[in-house]
Amino acid sequence: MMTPGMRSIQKWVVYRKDDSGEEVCCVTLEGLARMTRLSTASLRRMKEEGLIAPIRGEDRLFPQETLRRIAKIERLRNQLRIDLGGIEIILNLMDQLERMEREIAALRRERTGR
Amino acid sequence: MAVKFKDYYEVLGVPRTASADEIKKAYRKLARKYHPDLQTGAGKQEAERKFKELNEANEVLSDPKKRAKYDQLGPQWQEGMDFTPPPGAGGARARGEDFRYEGGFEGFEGFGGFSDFFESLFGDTRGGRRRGGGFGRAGAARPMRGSDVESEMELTLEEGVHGAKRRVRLAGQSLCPVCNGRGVVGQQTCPRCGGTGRVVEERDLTVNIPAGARDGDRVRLAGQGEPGENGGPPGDLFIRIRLLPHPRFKILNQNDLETKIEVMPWEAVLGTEVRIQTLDGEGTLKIPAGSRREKRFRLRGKGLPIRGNGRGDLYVRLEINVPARVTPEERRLYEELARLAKENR
Repeated sequence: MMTPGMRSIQKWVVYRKDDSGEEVCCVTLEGLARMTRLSTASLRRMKEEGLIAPIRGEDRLFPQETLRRIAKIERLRNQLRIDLGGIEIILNLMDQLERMEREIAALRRERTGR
Repeated sequence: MAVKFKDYYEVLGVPRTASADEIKKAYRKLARKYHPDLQTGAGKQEAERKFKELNEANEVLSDPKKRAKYDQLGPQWQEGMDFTPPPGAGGARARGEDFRYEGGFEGFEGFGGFSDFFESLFGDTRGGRRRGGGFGRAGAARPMRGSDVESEMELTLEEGVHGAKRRVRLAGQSLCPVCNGRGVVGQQTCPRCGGTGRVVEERDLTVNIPAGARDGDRVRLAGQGEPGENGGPPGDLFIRIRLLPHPRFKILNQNDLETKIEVMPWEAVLGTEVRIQTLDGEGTLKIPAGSRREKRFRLRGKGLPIRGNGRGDLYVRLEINVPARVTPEERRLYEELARLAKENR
């Protein structure tokens, strides 16, 4: 929380309460642009492609973890020259794969009783 | 010191005679296969190691100068052999050669640096290498000072005049404490910042506002801005002072203040002495007999501090308070006054 009387001109870090009432650190679209040195237009394109998503009920406020996701997107884009559409498919498949691996690990533990 | 020889051709799976195009193709194919962001679980760590190796091999073989230097070592060397660099090798950076990634792909610093073998041959590039994380930043290799940040602080007029000490909590960008801004820990992407080298953090700062601060003044907190790039110094934090509107005093110009005082009609006619509030406490103001509405009195030296030279003035504007309700006795006296005034005209 910003101390009363102190107001950042950039205002790119905002705190919002999530469903459990916990304060979550969020970054504005402009803040993301500043920290990643990407243009807001590039970030908007990522949002339109479904690669990054704002928090519920907001249009320009993203959870802090979005920074890590953008880092990954940019690595795939710059290092492997994959376009945003391709990256979306890859990230979805990776998420799916990781979920399945977790499920398999849980099932294994269940079966061995450990 | 002996290091293990690395066969870059073997790493990319190309013959020593391979063309630049063949090297590029081989590299891209393997990069897609071993890219750490495309791996899960236990395979990720091995992929990061392999990816780093590929990156290093590509760095050398895709650059004609470095490739020629590497080829000079001769074909008798094999992967894993103890290697002592020839005299003169490894000094490239020390002599000031500008060493940067120029390959078709972006750098892979996000997944670890170069091997000892590479650095024994081409020099220690740690100081001038691009920070990892994948944000495509061409030419960001030299140390760069962090950006300055500006914030606002609202102060009361009294705080501005007499100075203040305020503790503020500021949310901003800072170097990742885990990887120290490198984006990598050992051979792996930093788990805290995900390779960005930056985290959003809250800091508690104590700000001393000097006496005499005016609206729009800036207080500089050196080194509290955004962190620098590649070991560069951080920027500064500037706090712009905003003076809050005061319920009693109006700022007339840079130095003077204005306030108003109300007196009863007979006080204005007969003259009086009133107590008045200034920025320094209470004082007395003598209202001479026959003072009219809107008359301004000047209290020298009771205004805002003039930088390095005394104080401005406080202007007191007179207002006449006409009673809304009067008692029968007061009414009788006002009627008497009216009659007298008419006779004297």
